[in-house]
Amino acid sequence: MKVVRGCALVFLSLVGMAAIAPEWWTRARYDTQFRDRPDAPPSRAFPLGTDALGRDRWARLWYGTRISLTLAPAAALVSCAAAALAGGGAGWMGGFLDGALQTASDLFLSLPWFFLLLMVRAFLPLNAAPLASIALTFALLGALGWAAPARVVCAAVRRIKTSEFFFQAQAAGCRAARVLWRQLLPNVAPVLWAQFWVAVPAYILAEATLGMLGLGIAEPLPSWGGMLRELEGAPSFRQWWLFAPAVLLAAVVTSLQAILSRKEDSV
Amino acid sequence: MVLIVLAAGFICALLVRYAPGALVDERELDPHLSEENLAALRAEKASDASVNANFIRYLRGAVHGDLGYSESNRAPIAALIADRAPETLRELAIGLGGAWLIGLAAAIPAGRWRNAHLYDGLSSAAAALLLSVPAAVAAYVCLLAGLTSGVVLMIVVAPKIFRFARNLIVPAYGAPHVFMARARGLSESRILFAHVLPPSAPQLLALAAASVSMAIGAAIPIEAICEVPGLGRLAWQAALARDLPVLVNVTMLVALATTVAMTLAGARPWGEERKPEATR
Amino acid sequence: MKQFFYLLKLAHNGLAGRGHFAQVSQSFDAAPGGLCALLLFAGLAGGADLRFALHGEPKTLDPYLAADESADAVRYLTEGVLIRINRLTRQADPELAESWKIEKGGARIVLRLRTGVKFPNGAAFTSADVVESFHRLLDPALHAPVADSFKTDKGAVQIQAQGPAAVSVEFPAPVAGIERMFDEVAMIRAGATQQPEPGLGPFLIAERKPGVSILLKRNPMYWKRDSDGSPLPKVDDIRLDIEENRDLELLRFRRGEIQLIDKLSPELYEKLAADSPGAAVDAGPTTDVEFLWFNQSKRAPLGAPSREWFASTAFRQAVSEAINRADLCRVAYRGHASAASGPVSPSNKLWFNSAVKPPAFDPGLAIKRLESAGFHLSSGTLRDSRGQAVEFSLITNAGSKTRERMAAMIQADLARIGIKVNVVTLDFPSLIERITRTLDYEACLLGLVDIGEDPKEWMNVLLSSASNHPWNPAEKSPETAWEAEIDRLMLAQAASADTRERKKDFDRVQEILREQAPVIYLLHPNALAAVSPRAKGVKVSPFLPHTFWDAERLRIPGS
Repeated sequence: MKVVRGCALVFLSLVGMAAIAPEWWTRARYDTQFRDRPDAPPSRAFPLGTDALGRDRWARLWYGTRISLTLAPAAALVSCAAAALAGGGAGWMGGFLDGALQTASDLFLSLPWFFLLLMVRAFLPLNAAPLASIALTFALLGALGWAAPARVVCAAVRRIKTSEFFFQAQAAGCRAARVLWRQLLPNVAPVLWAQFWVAVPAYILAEATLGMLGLGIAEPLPSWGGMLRELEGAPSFRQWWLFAPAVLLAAVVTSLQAILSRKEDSV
Repeated sequence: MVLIVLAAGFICALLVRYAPGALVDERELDPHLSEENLAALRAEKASDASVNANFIRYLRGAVHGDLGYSESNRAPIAALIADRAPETLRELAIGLGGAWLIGLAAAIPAGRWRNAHLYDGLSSAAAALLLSVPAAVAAYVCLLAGLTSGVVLMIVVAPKIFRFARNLIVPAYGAPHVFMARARGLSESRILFAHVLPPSAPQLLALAAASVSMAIGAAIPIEAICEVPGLGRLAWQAALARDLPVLVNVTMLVALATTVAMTLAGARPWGEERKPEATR
Repeated sequence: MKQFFYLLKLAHNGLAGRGHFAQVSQSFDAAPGGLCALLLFAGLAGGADLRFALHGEPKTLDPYLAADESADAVRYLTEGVLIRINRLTRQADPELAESWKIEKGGARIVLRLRTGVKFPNGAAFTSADVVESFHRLLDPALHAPVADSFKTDKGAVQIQAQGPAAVSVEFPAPVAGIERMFDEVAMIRAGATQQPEPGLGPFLIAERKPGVSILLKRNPMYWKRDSDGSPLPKVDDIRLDIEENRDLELLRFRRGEIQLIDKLSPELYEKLAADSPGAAVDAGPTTDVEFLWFNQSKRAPLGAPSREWFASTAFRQAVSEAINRADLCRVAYRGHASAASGPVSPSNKLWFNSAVKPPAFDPGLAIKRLESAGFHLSSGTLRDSRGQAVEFSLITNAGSKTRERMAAMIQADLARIGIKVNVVTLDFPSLIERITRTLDYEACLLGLVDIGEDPKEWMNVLLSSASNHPWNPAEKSPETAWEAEIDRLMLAQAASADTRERKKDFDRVQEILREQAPVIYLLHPNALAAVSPRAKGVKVSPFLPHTFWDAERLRIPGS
């Protein structure tokens, strides 16, 4: 397994380095339109071909990686932080708060929040910078995504509270803050990590879905979600290059999970 | 539970009513419409503006079995739900049934042959890969391969079932009484059904309840992409058409299903099953 | 409407797919004789299932209220009209009226009705039905869009039966192309208790699954015969699937699950043409038009600089000249569109002003024009006389790939003359709210589809008082001299029956629109369709419906 984790780490490092500054090493910018070569298949000049406007898909993939790998984990972080606070608090306090959390999360999980996103978009000026607009959308997505992980965190905290080592720590006279910091947090962390990595691909796809509704990343900025929309045409498997963003997404998340499993094992 | 469902309905009504474009009709841009007809169309839309009045009217109707009328589908909502529910139920049955079969079938060997590290690694990697493929992408790929929406749901849910089931079954196989049973020569099927699954039954039951809620959540994008005439597609179409009565009903249905599933899952939701990962 | 719920119930009780039977049973009370004929024909009919998609649930099935494409399609297939405009020849063809005579210089038309025509319940079609149809159509409480062309401010239209088989329709003043006004007026049965009731079209609605599909069955009482005397329609039933996803529609077409696609996007057309060249059909330019406009409404919450830019004719013309229409046609539409010079498509041969040419793509000229209007380029950014960088947002509807691509190309084109464009895609209801209610937008990219050929079709767009007057809706009085001139010319052409005079007026309107560029017309898309080799007799027209306008003659042999 060490080899797998090592490979995952190398792969992620390479992806990270490639995505940091694609303008340094890609041949074209993400928005350059080679209008004489729309929908071109892969070639030396365009390793993943061009899109419908003749833009280099390879360049767009890496610029999109930078955006998606910044925003989706950020949104996941927001939701996990909110979940840690809400779920952790409810699980720790128990009683009424626990019940209230369950009720609130049931309610949150059932509501069509897409309309709230539409409302927020309506209040934003149309000339707002595309990145600011999408960052706000992602922040909102993150804030609304607390319910499911909060239940998980709450259950984990409840379980830890009834564990032997926890009773031992209390019996040894540990202060509440120390119990929280030394006993609770390290044991809840793997659960939060797991929720985090489940949320990352979900937010990447949420961005693609929002794009179809006009809430995604505006032209000409690329994103994984936006590029995944090219699959809407249900292309044949012969056009393998259209699956590149999906493959990269799966590879990145799988690698992250491989590294995560090491962290879990060490807990 | 009733309060949650009602609150979900009312908040949904508020969200839809105050979302941009709630009181417009696409036909307003039709150049064939005269000023008079345009005014009539706008007046008709404006008459639906009050959330409170509409919600109270809805509740009164619901008491008498009338769930309202869908303007975008031009049909009573009760009939629409009755028409679409069987498709969604069938899809859920195929998806969940298949996911449980695959998930358990893949998890049991990982516990049974505890030294089969290659199998365990490969199955876990495959699950991780599938978990990182968004449901919509899975739906597109399955469409290409000519698979049905039930199979898509199965592909989306199975890796999650596998992960949690594996984390329950592997330590169960490692329990001392299982070693004892094996030493006394009990058959593997007897060990599985008498000594491995029963101790994990409460968690598996909780997982079963939670997987229903998970499958309902995944069914909406899958039905929308695969254009399956189920409740998920109905909800999607209603959202795009700002069909408030349909959205309120679907939201209340989802709230009911979520609450019931979570209640059945009880105090043993997802996170707890991750514990054995550390014990391995 | 009740019948649909009845059918729905039957479907729930296990009779799905047997809606025709249900429809027949409803007809039983009214005319047992008719029922016998129905059953007889239903039993004898050969042919097979034709299947294609509607791209949304019809907003109504009432033939007089149809205003969306799906409702129009259902009306076309299920209702009979007096005179039909042939989608290929553009001639007025006799339908339920076998002949007509225009009198009083175009103010009156006398229609001689076809005899022997029967409604599905067996009742004969007579002049009483025509009078009743018009009575309902013109009912002010109904707000029927089709009725607008029959309403004049000079007085009411008089419809009178001239015996059982003739009807006169008389306007207070001569009307141009009077015989072409009946294409969308469905004939209903006098005394019909519910609407819609099975009509005189080639098909009847047999089953409806809201949001999923509509099943049409052949109307066994349909009056029309083929040239060899055989009964029409040739197919027994048509299943109309409600399918919003165009990609999925093409996938189903490729799998042979549907036989026609009435409207293909250029991208999907190219995909299909690559695999099955015979199935993809380009029927040439439509009357549709894609355009963008700047918000010039005084009620709009815009800043002073953008308000001034948008009011400047030079600015609008420069933007128009800086957009590469040829590239839009070639790249966004894959060559299946033609550059637009104005609202009227060259396919509308009678009313198109061929003297008005599309603006040539010339960023250099655009910059010169802008400089003459007080703008200047500084480090690649266009600035106005105050030094303010020129930047505006362009909204369009999300989900339309061609429009999203056009917007991205316009963004790149205008960047060349130093204008920064922020493309914002909005879901359709949000977009409509902005352009019709809040007016909170700067520029909008949209299109008009299914526009009729006559200049009257443009009245609700070009008159300054119209709510759908894009750049400045519902003006109390024309705010510019050229808008006043457009109003005058449009009203004059609408009041005249002299085609030459009307053409002269409408030509001038097109010239003014080209000179002032309140709307920047971009292109006219072609009619792209898909026809399965299994479907025989399909003649694709550039006018809607493209593929099934002759549905009664379509065949699916061997299935």
